[in-house]
Amino acid sequence: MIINFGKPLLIIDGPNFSGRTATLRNITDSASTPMSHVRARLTSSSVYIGPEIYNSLSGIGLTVRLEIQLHAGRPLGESPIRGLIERLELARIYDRSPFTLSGGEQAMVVIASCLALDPDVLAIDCALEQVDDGPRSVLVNWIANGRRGKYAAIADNSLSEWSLEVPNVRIDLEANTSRVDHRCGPLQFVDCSPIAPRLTGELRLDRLQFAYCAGAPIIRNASARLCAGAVYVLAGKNGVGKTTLSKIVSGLLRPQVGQVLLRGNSVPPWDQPGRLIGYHFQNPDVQLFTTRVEDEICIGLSALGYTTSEVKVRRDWALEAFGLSSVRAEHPLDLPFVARKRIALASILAAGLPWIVLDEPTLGQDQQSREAIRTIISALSRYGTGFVVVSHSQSFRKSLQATSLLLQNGTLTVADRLGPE
Amino acid sequence: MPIMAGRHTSVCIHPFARAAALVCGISGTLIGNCWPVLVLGYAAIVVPGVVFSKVGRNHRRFCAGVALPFFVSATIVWGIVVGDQPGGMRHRDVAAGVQFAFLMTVRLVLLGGITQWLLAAMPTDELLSTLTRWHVRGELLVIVLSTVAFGPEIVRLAEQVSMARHSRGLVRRRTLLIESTQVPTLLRPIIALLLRSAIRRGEVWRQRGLIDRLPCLGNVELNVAHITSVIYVCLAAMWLVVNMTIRFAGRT
Repeated sequence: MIINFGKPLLIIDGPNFSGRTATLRNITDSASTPMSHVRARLTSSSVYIGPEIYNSLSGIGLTVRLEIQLHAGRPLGESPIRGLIERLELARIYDRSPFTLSGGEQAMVVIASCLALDPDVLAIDCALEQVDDGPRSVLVNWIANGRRGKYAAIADNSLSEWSLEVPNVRIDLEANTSRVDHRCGPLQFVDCSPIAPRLTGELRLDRLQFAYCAGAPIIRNASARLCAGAVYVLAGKNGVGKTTLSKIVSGLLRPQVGQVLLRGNSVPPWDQPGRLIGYHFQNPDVQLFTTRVEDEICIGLSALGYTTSEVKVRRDWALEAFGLSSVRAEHPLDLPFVARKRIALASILAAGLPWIVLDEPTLGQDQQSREAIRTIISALSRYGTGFVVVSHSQSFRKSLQATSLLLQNGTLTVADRLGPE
Repeated sequence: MPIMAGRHTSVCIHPFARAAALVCGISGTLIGNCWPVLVLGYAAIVVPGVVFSKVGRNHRRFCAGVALPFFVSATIVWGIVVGDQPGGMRHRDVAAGVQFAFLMTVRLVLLGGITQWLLAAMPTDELLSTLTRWHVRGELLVIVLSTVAFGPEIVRLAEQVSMARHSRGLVRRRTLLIESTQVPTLLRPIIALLLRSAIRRGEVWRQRGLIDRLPCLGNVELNVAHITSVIYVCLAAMWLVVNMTIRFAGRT
């Protein structure tokens, strides 16, 4: 295959495991095993940004200012990138450590830093999925129009939601290339009755307040009554505190004021997190503990007190539904990001808890996988499992037909029900 | 906005004054052998400096987490087991042994306080320009900055892994006692994640050629507070002179 950068922006489309990442890494000369069918002639510099944003930071950037300045190679006041930084409103987080930022903010900082490098070819692999629509448009326009004589290649699962107003070339890898890594099977809907929850109930958030630093509350007064078996989408801008609130709801962070009540009980769930409310982390790597995929699914189930036969049934459901049967004996950290995300998601869903909080469950997942995740969520909600979902994918949020919880300035508003247009 | 102005500036101590104060402060502490003078210097100079630099909380943690256990173990060794200061006869002078343990602890607290005040409390921009003016450049600068960034990063990582274990029902309650028993189970995922990050970041550094861009980092104009710098150097020099006088005066 000959990839021709005829226009400033190359869009690479295709499903998971079709070779998008391998192609981007070959284009940017960062692949450990070069593909025989992709040959890129690189005149000089190229940069690849993968979906693991956390690992795309330099590691020595003690502040956002330092991180961007390191890439720019000069003081920021003299850098041509300052216009982009102003439009992305990154100045407000200049003195914060990049590691303390939200996923979307980290992605913006990494991409802005790489743009400050001004490489000849910039490849972005699913890194824009966590960024809000506004900043994403700014970034894509800057990448395509703001760099004369330079090129960019983007692979993203939310491409269908973008209103691309920049000239681009689009290639479909499924049609043109052979599959280079097909270790995981497709994600598919499997009857959810074996993992139905034993207990269901209403969840109440009662005047929650939370601050990481005294005097700067990120959650000011969040109250809501969440019905059993309903699906809620937690929406809000990057860095507004969606992940923080979802961790409070799951009982992983203790609010300074207020409480979370399940089934009206005065026992707050943070005494028993993981037993009543499951939490799927944005970064799957932190919740993978074992050396085999199937053990990873079982470890939480055993801790919940399921019998051996129940654990086996739930494990088999998770392996089949998430296409993990073929990799059941492999080490989770040896698998690509998209597979690790699936393992983490499967582990939580298989637990059959009354409430499940999902933070960016569709990260890195293609359209077919997103549809399967939506179907599983819908099926489980019919059994009484309640869901709180944080997602930047517009189409996924709409397809859930969920009630929207809008987090703005630390307060929570129950908005209208989302649905297909 | 001010931060988008040409160059970022901040009011700070001159790097050479800081180095001189650090060297004199540490030397004075190591030379000093009169514990009342050391305690007085700590209370009169280091404690206000630490509080003024807004690292008082870190210093309290250092005292509670490092100095106090050190004092207890040193007292056991020199006060009970040995029963005398180093070089003395066993169990001849228990008070001297305890006094020696106390002197060592005061020195440790002073060294920690001086380091926290003069190094750890530096703002990031000042840290960079100070390091480059101390000729800490290139790969050595990367090592120093990584060391500074590593601590908070590993704490955050440990917190996330611990939270994830909690969310999977593997830990019932997150009390200090229970979490301390979880350390062995946390080590493996944390080490795996750190190794993964190191490999990925190695690629990032190579591909982006960041090592060649390091010289720009210290290129920050400093707005030096000259009077404060002189005060720092004078205080440290006085500290050194006083301790040298007390220690060596009787020998001449």
